[in-house]
Amino acid sequence: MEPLLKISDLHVGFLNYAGVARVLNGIDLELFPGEFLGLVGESGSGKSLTANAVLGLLPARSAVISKGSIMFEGKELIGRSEKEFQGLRGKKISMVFQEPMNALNPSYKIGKQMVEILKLHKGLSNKEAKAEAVRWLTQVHIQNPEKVVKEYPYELSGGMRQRVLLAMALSCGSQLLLADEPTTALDVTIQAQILRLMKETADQLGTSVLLITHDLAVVAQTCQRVAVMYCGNIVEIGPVTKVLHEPCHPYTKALLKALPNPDHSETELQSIPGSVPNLLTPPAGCRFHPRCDLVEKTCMELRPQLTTVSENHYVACWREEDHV
Amino acid sequence: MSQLLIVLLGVSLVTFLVSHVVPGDPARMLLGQRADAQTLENLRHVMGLDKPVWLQYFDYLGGLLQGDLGISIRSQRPVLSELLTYFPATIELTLFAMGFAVISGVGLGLLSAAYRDTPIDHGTRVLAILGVSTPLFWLGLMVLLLFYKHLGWLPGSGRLDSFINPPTQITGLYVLDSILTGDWVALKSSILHLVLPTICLGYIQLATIARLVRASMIEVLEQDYIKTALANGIPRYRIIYRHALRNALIPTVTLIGLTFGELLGGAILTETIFTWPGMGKYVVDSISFLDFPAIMGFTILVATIYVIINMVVDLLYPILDPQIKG
Repeated sequence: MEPLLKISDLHVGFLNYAGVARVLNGIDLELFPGEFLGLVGESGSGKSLTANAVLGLLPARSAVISKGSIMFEGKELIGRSEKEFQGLRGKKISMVFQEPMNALNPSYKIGKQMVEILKLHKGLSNKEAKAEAVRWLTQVHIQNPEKVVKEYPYELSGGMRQRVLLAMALSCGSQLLLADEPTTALDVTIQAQILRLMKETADQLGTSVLLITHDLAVVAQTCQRVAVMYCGNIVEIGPVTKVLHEPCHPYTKALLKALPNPDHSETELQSIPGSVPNLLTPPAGCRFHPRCDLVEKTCMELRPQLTTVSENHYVACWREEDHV
Repeated sequence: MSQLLIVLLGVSLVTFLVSHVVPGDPARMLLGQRADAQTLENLRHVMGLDKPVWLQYFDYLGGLLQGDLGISIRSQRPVLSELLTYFPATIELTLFAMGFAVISGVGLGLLSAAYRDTPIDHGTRVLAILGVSTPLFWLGLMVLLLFYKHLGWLPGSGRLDSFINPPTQITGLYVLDSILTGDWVALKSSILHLVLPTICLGYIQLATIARLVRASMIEVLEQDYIKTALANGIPRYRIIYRHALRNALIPTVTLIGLTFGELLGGAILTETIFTWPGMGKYVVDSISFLDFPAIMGFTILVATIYVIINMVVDLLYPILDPQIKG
């Protein structure tokens, strides 16, 4: 099957007064139609940046894409004009963000904000767009949508707003949804509801989802495959069951060990020693080597590439054979 | 409403006290230095100046409640009717200056924010800094020198050319009246006469507004909902003028209300420079004559307008920001 989204060897740097921070260091990622792919990693590992690069939303003045390609539906996205991106955003590729509280414009009614996009991308008349907005609110299980379209964002709860944002993101028929920590800011119960809704809606529409999160439980619940990012690199990618149950990369292992285990609540929580390196002067070779127990000479000198461990399961580690 | 009354009470008290501690005797002023003591005494009695100060204040306040601002010492006519003669000229100038400042200020602020850190932005900011730091009297003289004396493009004094009859009085605003009566000659002349004073009076406020709009636009453009709008493919120009501007206008509206007061105050100087026959010029003449009722009347009128404008501004918030319920 042809991938819907194919990112190859993507390098993104940020210019600042101290030099260039290499925040994405050769990302390879494929997302297939109808697939849920989780993208996990700690803060600053480049998850959101990857999504923003796909939508052409990197800050134009400071971010530089130095190398690589992003293919969507077989067409290159890098180097497209702002105008071309505008035609894609919201129509073919959509995004929902972490913070629903402030993600809707406080000055306009929900209906108006939805109608604006529907008119823009689908060329609907005002009346058709209104009906479509109501239909979409029903689709995301909002009770009395006719009332909600006439309300302002401040009148809705966080979970409701995230539903509205999801409806907005999907309402113009996007094939790809980039969900950037969509549930992080919500209560746990609402979180589960929104995830279920996202899964249900995306499955129904055949939308592919790139789910960015730092919550492995969320990934386990919703995704078919998961990619683990560390410091601008994808270190491991594979089916969720494989990656979570038979992790190969020392970083993935450490992440899983850091999860609190309700069966052994008396044991102390594990943490990964060291801290995320400074991206202005990243470590040579494998970027994880200063924090890795298995480090050897090669790790400090050469960057490992993703290699096959088993079917669809890839890991970027020099010591991978030794501990499978 | 109660806010209005409290403010006006305070204003009347302060202006009354200030004008009565200022050395100077209006009766002496009226009669001249060579008047004899008896005549002076009689006049002081007639004017109520021999009563205790607090009693004078209550007399004044009592008059105010009936819409009586007292009698001008200089002209012996009611202050209110005198002020009303000059009022339209000042309001016309102030409204034009206000329109100029708001439209160009918001426009420049938007431009500056939309093209942040580009030459457009730098140019606009220099213009704004100049506006905030240029003294009005200096600016007035410079534009007069350039556009009136050297270039001769624009008239430099008064509201109309001397050989043109004012339009039939309806509102007292020449521009409006000449439109209403179809008097195109007077319309052209009155607009030309408004240009220089409007620019001078409005420039400082334009600069302040432009700076505030720029700052709040930049703040709003960083908000998550702008990112949502971008991610939904909404074109940038639409994001600026539709999604961001409305939210950025909330602090600006407050400033615009306050600006109106500044403009009314600034009108005094502008009217003096451009010999504009408005309240500002009237009050300056009154000050040099120690015409206390006229000065106090002017102050109270301006304060009233100021408070009313700011009450209107308060009423505008719920329209701009749905979270504030009126």
